[in-house]
Amino acid sequence: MPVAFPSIKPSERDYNPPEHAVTTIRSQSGVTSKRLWGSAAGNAELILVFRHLHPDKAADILQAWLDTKSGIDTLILPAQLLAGASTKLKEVILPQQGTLSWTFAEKPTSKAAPPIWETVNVRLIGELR
Amino acid sequence: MAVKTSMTAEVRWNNTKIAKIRDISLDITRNTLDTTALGDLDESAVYGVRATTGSGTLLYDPADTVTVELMASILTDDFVPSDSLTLVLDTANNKTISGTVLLTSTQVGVSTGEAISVPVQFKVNAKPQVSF
Repeated sequence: MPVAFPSIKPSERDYNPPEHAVTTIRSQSGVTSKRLWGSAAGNAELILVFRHLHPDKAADILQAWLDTKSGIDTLILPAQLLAGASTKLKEVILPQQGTLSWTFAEKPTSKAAPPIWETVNVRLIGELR
Repeated sequence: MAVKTSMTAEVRWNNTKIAKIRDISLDITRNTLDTTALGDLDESAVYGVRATTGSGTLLYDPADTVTVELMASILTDDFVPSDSLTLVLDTANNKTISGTVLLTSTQVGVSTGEAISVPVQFKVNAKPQVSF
């Protein structure tokens, strides 16, 4: 069952676009042959940093990790994650919500700073499922 | 009410008045942590931690036990601060800023024709007690 990722604007966002499955063979004569497997691109990455969050908001993100059963269930990504991106860029990053299934690529981490603030690092992956 | 001057002020080290002190200042600052998010046009921040530091200049008087004690305290080998410093702004009405302090610097300055001065710097441990 899809889990809603908390609606929080990130401080930093890195995006690695998906790629198609391709096999490349280079012959002894130097000719390169490429074979495309399937028509959809997968394994996009969204790396997010949420700096100096209130602990309750950090807890919401960590709870989402648990709710996805450690990245098994998929996430519903809120528009807030793409704050600052133009409409055109948003369409490139999340072209069709149905194409890629987003979930946690790894455990989110939360680092505390005095007196109460938390900086949360999240790595999401958009997979073909 | 009248504006107070140095006439109404004094400095105490471990609750005893320092005989001669030329000047003292205390800075209470709070740092900020950036919370600006993507899409924001203006910086935003939350409060971080507070720090209280200060500096002052004593006039060297070997007969004044407190002055000598303060000068020597930087040479003690304690790890945990135990000395207290109190800046009394108004002795009549007991308006004070005080706290346990860590002496971080002590200098001795000798110049021709000048009183021997002892500039010191300190850091207040935790939150200062204030009565403005």
